Amino acid sequence: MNDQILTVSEFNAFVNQTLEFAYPEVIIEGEVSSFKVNQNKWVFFDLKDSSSTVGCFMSVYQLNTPLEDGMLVRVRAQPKITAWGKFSLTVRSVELAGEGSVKKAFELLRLQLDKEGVFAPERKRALPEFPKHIGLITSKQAAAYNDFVTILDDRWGGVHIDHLQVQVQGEAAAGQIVEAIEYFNAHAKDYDVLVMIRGGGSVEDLQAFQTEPVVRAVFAAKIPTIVAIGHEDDTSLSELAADVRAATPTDAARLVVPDKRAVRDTLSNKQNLLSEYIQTLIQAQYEKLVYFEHSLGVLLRSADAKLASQETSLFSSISDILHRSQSNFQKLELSLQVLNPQAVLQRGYAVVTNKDIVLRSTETVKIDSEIMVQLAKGKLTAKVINIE
Amino acid sequence: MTNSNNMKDFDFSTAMQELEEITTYLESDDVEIEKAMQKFERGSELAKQIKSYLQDAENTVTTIKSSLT
Repeated sequence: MNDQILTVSEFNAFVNQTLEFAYPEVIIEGEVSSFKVNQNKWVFFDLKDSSSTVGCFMSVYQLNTPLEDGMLVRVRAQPKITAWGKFSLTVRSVELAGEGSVKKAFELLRLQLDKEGVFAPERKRALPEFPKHIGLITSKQAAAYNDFVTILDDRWGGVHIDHLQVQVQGEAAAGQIVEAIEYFNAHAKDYDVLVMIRGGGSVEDLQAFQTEPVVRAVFAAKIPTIVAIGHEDDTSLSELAADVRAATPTDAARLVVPDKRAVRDTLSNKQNLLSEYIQTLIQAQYEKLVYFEHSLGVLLRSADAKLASQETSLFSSISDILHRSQSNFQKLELSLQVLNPQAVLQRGYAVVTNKDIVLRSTETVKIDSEIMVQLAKGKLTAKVINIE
Repeated sequence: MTNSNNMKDFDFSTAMQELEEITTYLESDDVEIEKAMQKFERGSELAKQIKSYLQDAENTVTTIKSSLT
């Protein structure tokens, strides 16, 4: 190689080959400085310690945590010389080092998501009161799974749970959780509620639920979502992005379904109420009936009285009429007696007829005519001997 | 479950809602006795079904096979 003359490009390529052979991947811990993002695509920053600095380069898509100057990070990278002769690290992944950095990153992401409205209370949906179909994202190996199912069984029945197994910690966790949420989104119409749980652990153990992709996936879930991560004191960003936050997996089960004992009590109260209402209603109807009956009685009695009075007046009228008729009759009878020809004859008068015609004048008789004389007792046949 | 066929299609939420509506109807002032009796009978039947559901219904879990793990 001593006398070999290389072009600049050949030299750079040679150095890169050598570097790649010697250091296929290096892990370097240092403090971030001069952090910037170009065109929303490329990330540049320097990694430094008390005496040295090295430039770093990566794509935005590879960066899975918010970065800020002053944060301590561990980068997995490959050293390279660029075509411009600048030595830099091509970073494959960045991991936060030290609790200060983790907290700082958490705070940065929280602020950013909050600004975007990811945690906004007004977008939170209510969980259904009586869910029938639950999507569950957790690890079956975790205590959280058993806690959740046990409490659910104790409180409620008739629920079907579709469980999607995911890792809840480690490098693969975040990706699997996002995929699980996407799976349930694709079948959203089949589910009433989505439950994502994980039991307690160290800050690092719970890290997957603080990552931006998971938090955004929770935010974008098409099914009302409840998230419970860690113990009561831990509040993850996933919980804040969920529709409902539960303190623990056990608490999540309590929030997802009602307690059948309480529902049974409510039901008994309702049954009692129903009976009371219907009894009141029947009583009211009965009273109405009694009132009607009473009114009808009053009406009938009044009609009865009216009838009786009419009857009395009818009788009295008839009796008046009869009385009047009787007196008229007596008068008529008396007149009749007075007018009776027999009575006249009794008094000494006679009825004289000529050929059955009563004689009232001498003009209709002739001398020698035979005439009939009717007396009160007996008859005479006489001959006319003189006419005056 | 005593009447499993009925229970299979039983929707708890719908049943509770219907019962709630019946209670509200009977609570109101404008009630016809005949309709009220029908609703009362329906309400009692619903309450019986709901109690039976609470007594007998069990939860089930299916672990979905996926390419995630």
